[in-house]
Amino acid sequence: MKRGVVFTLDALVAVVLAVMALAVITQLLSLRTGEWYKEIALYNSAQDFMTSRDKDGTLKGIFNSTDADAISTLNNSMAFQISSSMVARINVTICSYTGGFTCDRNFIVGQSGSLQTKSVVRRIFTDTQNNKYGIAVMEVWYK
Amino acid sequence: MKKGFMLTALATILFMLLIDAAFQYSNSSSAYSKRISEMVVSEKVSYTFDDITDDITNITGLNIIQQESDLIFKDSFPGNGITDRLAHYEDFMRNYYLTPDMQAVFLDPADNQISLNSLSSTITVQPFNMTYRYTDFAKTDLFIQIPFSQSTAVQFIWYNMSVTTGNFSQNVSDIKWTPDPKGCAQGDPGCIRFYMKVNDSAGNEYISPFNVFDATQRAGHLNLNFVNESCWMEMWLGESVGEQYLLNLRIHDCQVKTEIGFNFNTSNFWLEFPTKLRIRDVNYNTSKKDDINIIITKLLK
Repeated sequence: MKRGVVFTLDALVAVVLAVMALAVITQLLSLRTGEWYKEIALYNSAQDFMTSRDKDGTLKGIFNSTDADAISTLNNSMAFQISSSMVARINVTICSYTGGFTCDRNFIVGQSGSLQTKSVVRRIFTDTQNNKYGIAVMEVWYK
Repeated sequence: MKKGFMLTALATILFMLLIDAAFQYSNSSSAYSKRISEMVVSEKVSYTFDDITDDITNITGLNIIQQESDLIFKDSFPGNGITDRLAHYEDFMRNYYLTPDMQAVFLDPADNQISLNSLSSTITVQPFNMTYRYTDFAKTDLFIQIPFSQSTAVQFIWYNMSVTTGNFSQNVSDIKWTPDPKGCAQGDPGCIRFYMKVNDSAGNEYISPFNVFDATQRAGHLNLNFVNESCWMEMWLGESVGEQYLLNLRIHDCQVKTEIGFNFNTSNFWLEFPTKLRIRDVNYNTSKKDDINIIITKLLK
């Protein structure tokens, strides 16, 4: 009889553990899928932003504007185009060619997110006639 | 005892389910992960490809527009250091833009690796096999040719040219073709209808009095001189030195903007460039290799 009680309790604990493990796995599965979709949405958003800013001449315009003006322009564009559920930061580096490249301008627009999942998109933009070259690196997170 | 046996059986079943669920999770997780990674990497590769080809288009100074059966080349001459700028661009792209996981390679038609400053200066319009080319990106000349058998595909050509660095050295009414373009009957193979207008920087406008030429016959030749004596340009329409030209243009020390438009008998045509670009993600071994298609803007009529 005593041995029966021990077996029963042992089996009961096993059942509880198995149910908990199943629940955790199910939960994990749904969480991971969500993260991947988030990453794609972030990437698409950053890619759209960088492509459109390159095609409308905003990035090239940075060569002839002050850092403050460029930051203001890019901030306004981000406020307009980046979803309110996301937060983004762009690191802009400007270089010039005089027999070699000198990169003497750098500024950051926007702010970092706190979540681990983010997407990074780079864009090259140039004004080769005036020997100006730039790289913009955009990082996007969900808030 | 019976209850204990039941619970033990239940626990065994649940653990089997658990192991199964763990396997399923593991499989679906890696399959998902692979699919999503591939999707992101392939987007990244395509995006990088487009980013680089956009810049190359800008550096070449060529803008191509398609509007149904019309194809328009907007160009500027001379090239003003395009070859050097292509070399600098490649240098910057490799050292500052590409991350270590991304690789960009320029290829010639035989898939041999080349430098960007060896970019081909020939564009082919298919299926007509019509070529729009310069000797090189110094762009002091322009040759447009089409095989005789395809010449009926061209319904009409307009040549609009604008010289921004000088005025005509003579009255536009005194400008003469020597010799005149050979006339022909519209619709005959090799017979091209055209309109030509050349503006100087003062707004004077020369409009060619001829509106057809036979591409198979001795070329008509037009020599245009400008007040600045080092600036002059000449062009031939027709057969010259054994070759048939829809345009053979030579520019000497002039800054010229051109808009050369073709009206074809179909809107089903495409452009080909011999130089290719291959972008590869080294980590995932995902790549995109395609012609460096100078971007064509497509407009609705």
